[in-house]
Amino acid sequence: MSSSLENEGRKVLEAAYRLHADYVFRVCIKFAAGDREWALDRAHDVFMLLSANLKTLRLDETLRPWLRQVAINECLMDLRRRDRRQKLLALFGRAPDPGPPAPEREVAVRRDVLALDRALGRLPAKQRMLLGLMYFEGETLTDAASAIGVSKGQASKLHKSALETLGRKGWESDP
Amino acid sequence: MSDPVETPEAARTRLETEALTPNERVRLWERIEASHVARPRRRRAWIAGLALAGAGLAVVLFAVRKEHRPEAPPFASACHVDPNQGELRVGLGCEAQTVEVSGDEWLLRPGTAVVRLPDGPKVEEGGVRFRVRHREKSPFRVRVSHGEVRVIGTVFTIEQHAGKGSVSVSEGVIEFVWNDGARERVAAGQTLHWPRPVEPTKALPLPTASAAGGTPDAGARPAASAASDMDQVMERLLQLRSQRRYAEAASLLRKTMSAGGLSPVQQERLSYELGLALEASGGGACAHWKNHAKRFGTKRHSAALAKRLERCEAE
Repeated sequence: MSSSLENEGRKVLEAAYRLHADYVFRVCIKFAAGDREWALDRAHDVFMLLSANLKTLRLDETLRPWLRQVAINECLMDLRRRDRRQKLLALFGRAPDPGPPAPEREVAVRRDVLALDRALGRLPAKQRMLLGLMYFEGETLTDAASAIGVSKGQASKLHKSALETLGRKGWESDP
Repeated sequence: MSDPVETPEAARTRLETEALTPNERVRLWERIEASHVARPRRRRAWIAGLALAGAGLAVVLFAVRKEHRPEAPPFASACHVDPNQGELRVGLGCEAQTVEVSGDEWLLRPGTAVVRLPDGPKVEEGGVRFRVRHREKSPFRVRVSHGEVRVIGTVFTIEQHAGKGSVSVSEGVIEFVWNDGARERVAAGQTLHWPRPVEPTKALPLPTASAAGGTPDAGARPAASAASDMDQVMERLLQLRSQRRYAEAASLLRKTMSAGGLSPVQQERLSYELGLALEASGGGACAHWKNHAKRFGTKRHSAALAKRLERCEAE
């Protein structure tokens, strides 16, 4: 009996994977700064949470928004973990983790033009997520703030600071 | 930072076209499946304590500085299926694949393995939808764990998982030949499952030498020969039926029945088929159905027989 339930769960998970794998990956890759393996890891985490919540979730049109929010949370949490680790390492006099080597990370989309998602990879977790949501997902500042769990005022400061880091003050009113 | 950076609009357009490559799709699904079986661990609670742990833990942190990523399992299969190969496999996480084999169309679902044998394919695992072109001579055969599907031309789906399975017919009629030689007809809209449900076995009297014809060998030979003859008759019947040559099918059945040497089950089966052939040929089948019910009872095909007899009474 339990094995048939297990099998049923696997089938449901597989069906959800077939329908939503590309979508979840697409959400994650926007915050990955070009690191596909990182995006795959986050997509894996999302489907693991789906697997753990199969009994309580409705697998209808409401699933996609749920997957999106979980993907955003997973990306944000992992980026913050990375930030914290780098801060700790800096505290002990170790150089921050440079991440993947430069050629892989800073790929130009055209000659001399740096891909924006790679450029966002230089920002701290919350700034990267905020700008990613605004620029790649078309979210307003308010909605992006809500998605990453900060107030509108805090989001505004994060946004301004991120643009200063990027040297792109002119984009402030773009999204 | 002074590098020229892509505009948000261009980046958004580019990222919207991102998708998993076929290999990534397979690899990711295999990781998810493996983790699903092992059940996900609860969220790590050590992160909050880590910041407070102090200099002692820093040593450990240096040791685990590199982020650990679970090892990706090896690629089990690619998503592209080559119909010329002896074995056709579609990995889990791939899209369903359609291949054309000798004019037939096979739709292989993810997680399917089909082996091509000299006399036809064998579905080892998974689900396949076959659209089989019409055949004039020998039928198209598909092996499964508990028997063989024989068709002249039709559409049907086979599911085979861990020694169990089913065949569902969408168009036409197929014949399922069990490994023990028994045959069953499956028409459009019907599904046959294997293995058979286990029924309590009845104690059968052991055959005696005299009943078997003197020696065991002497009895076995005619039985094997009869089974082989029946095979040919049923194959021919399937052909005639698929070509809508019902009058010829009825004639073949009458001839076979009158030849004798049939077991009661075979007689009942052929009689039922004869009734269907008479009906389909437009000839009156009522007399036959009444005779059939009288001779064999209505236990088998009870619903269908009852409906027919009712109709006959009304006429």
